[in-house]
Amino acid sequence: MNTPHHAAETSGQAVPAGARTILEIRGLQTRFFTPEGEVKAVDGVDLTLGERHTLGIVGESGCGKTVLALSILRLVPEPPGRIVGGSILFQGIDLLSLDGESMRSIRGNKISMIFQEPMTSLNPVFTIGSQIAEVILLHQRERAAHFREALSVAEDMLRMVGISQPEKRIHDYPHQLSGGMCQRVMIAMAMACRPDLLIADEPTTALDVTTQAQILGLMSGLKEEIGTSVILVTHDLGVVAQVCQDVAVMYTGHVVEHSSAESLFSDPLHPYTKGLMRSVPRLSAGSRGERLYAIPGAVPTPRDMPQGCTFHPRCPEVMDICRRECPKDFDPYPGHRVRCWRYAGT
Amino acid sequence: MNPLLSVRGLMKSYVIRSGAFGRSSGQIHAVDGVDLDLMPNETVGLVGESGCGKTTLGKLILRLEKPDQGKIVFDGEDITHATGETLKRVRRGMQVVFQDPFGSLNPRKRVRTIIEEPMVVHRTGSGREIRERAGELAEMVGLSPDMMKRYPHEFSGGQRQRICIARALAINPRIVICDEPVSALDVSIQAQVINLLTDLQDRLHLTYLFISHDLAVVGYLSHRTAVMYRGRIVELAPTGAIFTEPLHPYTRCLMDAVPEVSVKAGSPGRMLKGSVSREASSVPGCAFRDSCSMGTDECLGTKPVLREISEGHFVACHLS
Repeated sequence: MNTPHHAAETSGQAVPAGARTILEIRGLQTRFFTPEGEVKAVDGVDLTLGERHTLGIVGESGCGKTVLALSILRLVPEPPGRIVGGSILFQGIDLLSLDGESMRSIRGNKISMIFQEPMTSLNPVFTIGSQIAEVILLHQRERAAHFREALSVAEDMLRMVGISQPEKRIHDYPHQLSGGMCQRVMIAMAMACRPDLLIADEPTTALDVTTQAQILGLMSGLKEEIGTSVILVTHDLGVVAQVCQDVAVMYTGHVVEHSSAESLFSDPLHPYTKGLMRSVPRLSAGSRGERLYAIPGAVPTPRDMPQGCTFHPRCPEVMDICRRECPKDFDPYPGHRVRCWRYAGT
Repeated sequence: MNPLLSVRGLMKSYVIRSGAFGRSSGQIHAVDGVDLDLMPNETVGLVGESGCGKTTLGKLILRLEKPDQGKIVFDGEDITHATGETLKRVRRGMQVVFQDPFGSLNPRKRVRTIIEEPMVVHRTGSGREIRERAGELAEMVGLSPDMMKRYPHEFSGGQRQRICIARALAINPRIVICDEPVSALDVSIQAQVINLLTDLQDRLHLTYLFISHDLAVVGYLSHRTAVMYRGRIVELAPTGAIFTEPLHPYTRCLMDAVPEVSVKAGSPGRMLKGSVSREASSVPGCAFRDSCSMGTDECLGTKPVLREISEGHFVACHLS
């Protein structure tokens, strides 16, 4: 197996002392085998998530953040995709070594997921109540032996996510609800089994800002109440700043920077992270005419992946070595990891 | 100075049909009495959440939809009921860039054909002139000449949006209506397109109506900003004033909901009560009253109208 060997540099990162680790990903490699060739969607990712922590995974489209999330649940469509290396330790168990049956008992039960488009993730021909009840009947028979009991649990869940008149709403179909309401239903469904880990893939991207604020508030509240750890996949740095304790920035299948949110936002190290932060439009008076910083160029396609550091053609701080050799991980500060030659020898 | 485009009392409603036989069960007032002026060489930002009627307003101005009531005056000419050749002439002066760069380009045509098409339709010159102009346009928006023979699927989102912009500019329009042109793009690419739009405006003296749900993006482009809520403009002011002293409670909610890119402990935004309902608000009173934290009896009784509070700052709220 061709797992990358940079374990030495990556020990003892983002998780603060005292917090127990719930998820540990080491050298994960997910590839897609397409007629045009092999695509390394996730290329040697190391991540650690502490119990009851929220980890934000940020990056632009095509950086591999969704594939990473799907890999954790082993939902990568196979073929064309395949996890070819690494390990995913969840509560000490390597998820990659489990058979289908055991994986199913974890999926939706101990680890659950919220997808980006609430409207298309719900089944249009079943009522929302029966869709939530299904999860409970499937995984937690001890809480509800019959459909009727499961339905009343569903009602409680809907109340918990702030839907008014849940006793009526459980009989509604998805098309009768707005986008924000559907996302609340998705959260209710994901939280129904009180999971230890929740993976939310762009949960608020399809929603309006005011609804987004409500949903993020709701997720933080539930996280505290149930004690769930959360992985939040998003392209929005603002969302990360608001709700995450730890952040991983991804680019072309690599984690290029991984640290606590505080450290990342006060002192971003990787040129890509710096560029991303500067290009976010900010609410400020009289910014008209002010030029917005733009990272030159575009994310490379898998077909023409640059040699050396994959960011070097767009990087304002590029050095000779970046064009030749893939950067290693460095820790300029304890708990702040960056994959960039600039920090060699720190 | 006379406005280049002037909209007065514009209204558009759609009938909601439900049930197996599509009986009408109500009306949605998508645009409910909008007054708006666009000065030459100005950008007006139009902000609001989904379903507030901002896209419908853009379509009405472009005459892609027929208004129920009201008046649209473009360059001194009433175009509300223009048809045929008149409408075609009017459209030479107004072009549009749509939100989805994946859906708004014909996948079976080459980039060159796409950019040349408006010039062919409007017969702006000879075949050679058109070819030359297409080359200029491509260069202007930052596409290299060899890209002209490729098909849309070979491009990334940002490049496609550049093609859409080149197409919109092909016949030298005076107004470009940009309907969420950057919301489908990644942040780093979004910044490139925003800068491109600003540069083109300075170079070609364009007038933009910039429709977006993102207040921050609007701030970088607009001289004035209009905030829409349920089919009405609730606040209109110079962009700086909107950011420093937002007057309408809805504008304040919108500003608070934008997550800031910095970590500050314990700064939860003010949250909207209830949700933005899309149902027709035929009841009297302010459409925002149910979500507003400061509602009074007056808000229940009468609909607030847009009033000028300070110079150029209009707001439709009883409380300010």
